[in-house]
Amino acid sequence: MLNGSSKLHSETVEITYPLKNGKEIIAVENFNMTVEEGEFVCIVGPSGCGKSTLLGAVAGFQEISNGKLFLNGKEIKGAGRDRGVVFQQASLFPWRTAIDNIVYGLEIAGVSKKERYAKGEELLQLVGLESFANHYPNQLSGGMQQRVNVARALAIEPSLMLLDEPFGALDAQTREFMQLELLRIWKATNQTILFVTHDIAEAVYLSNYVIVMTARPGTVLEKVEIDLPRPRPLEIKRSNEFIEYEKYIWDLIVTEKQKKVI
Amino acid sequence: MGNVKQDDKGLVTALNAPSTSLKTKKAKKKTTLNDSFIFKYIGPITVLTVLIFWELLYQLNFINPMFLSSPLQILKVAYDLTVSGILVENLAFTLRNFFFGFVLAAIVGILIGLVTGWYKALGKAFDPFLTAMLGTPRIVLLPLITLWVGVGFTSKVLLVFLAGVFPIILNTMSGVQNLDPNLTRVAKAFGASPIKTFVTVALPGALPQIVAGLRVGIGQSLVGVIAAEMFVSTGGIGYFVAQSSANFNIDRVFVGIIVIIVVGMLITQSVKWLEAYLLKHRID
Repeated sequence: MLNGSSKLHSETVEITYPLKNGKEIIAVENFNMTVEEGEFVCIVGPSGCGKSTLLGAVAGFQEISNGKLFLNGKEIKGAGRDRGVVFQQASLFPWRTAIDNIVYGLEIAGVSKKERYAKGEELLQLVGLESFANHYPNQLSGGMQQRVNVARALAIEPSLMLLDEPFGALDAQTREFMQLELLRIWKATNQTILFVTHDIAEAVYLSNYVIVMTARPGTVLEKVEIDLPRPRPLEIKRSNEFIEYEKYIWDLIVTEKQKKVI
Repeated sequence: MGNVKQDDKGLVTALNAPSTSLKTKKAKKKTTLNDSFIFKYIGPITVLTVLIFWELLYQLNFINPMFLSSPLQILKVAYDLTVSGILVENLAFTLRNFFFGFVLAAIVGILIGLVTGWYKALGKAFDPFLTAMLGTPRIVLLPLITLWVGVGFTSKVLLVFLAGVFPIILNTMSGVQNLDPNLTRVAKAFGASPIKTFVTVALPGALPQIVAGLRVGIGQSLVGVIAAEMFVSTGGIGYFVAQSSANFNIDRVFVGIIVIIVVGMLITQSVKWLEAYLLKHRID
């Protein structure tokens, strides 16, 4: 396979869960996808389609039962510092201040104190929290906590960022603003991002292309290129083109859901 | 008719300036109870009232001085005992027993708690002992202890240790077991080794529970030291109280009890300070 040049490449990936009665349930099946350097890719699909499971496999938390996953041409085996992971729960260490949370990964990696705090300051600035360095998580709003979470994942300068519904727990206004911010951060850091969400508008707004998954067992139903200009202001969500994309993906998912019910 | 008219007037002014009328009402209410001197110092005032009442009953010979002392009498005897050095000597004896026993309980308790919390199998294996010991008054072990190590310093340290160690183990263990799995997952995502995960996540994550365990343990250790001194000792506040009671010296009994109360309060307060220092991230 010619996967040396791609950032992330998945080849007929299958993920199964053991059931209590000894049988197995197939969560993801024959999943093929390629993400190139610098791309922003979103995965959407009906709930329970295995999109988070797939992201977990890329992160290295989830064993795959068949197929292969390559990161920078190397097969993925377990979790590693080359991937930065952001979950829906900010999961900040409550006993660490914002900056101490951000530098956690660097601390684990054994980076010197001076170096990691320099990096921490830089990232606080990037996510717009420079005046909150010494605040504890319980003194920050949900949006701020998620900014710290993103900064913490960025601190280790991962090769690939994995975000699993990172804004799902935020209120609608904060979520929209965070989407805008994420695009700015993505631009500033030249990161490659794989983003899982159930929010179609979010996927269309953020992505270069959206991967729509089928119902379980989840596989790629369609890859939808989002040909909207960048930078994308939030107003773009009210444009006809945007609404077309949204409707198109919505129809795909609804059809999938109905198939499942029948 | 006149009344009705007046009411109307009041209503009109209230309607015209609703915010001001509300404010004055609120302000009035505030000064009545919550801000008053009595409300602020109701605790000390109550204590003082009880003490004065007690002293009065004593002075008016309502109390048999054989069975109950009086506040002034206690103060006087306490002063005498302090000057003569008896009180300080006994207190030092008790605190020494307590200190060694409790520090040992804290160190051993936290270590065992961390290990049994981290390794689930060990925790399960240890659980029956913990359950048995937590439900038992550890003073029951005193005859066994004296049989093994005699009635000296070691016996008291050992009882203080046994009194305090189990709640510390239990709390530390459950603190580690109930860690937020999301936080351990974060450590894993950053490639932290099990040892690093333990140090950076389990230890600070379990800290609130560890401190709670210390607080329970400190109280039980205090019970342990006083009980041990009452039964097998020739010194210490516990011994002092038991001895004074045997000699029908009611004033001394009260002095001893009050010293124990004060020591207990001071120790509890110091744990609160420790808690505030260690868990400062919990304060808004």
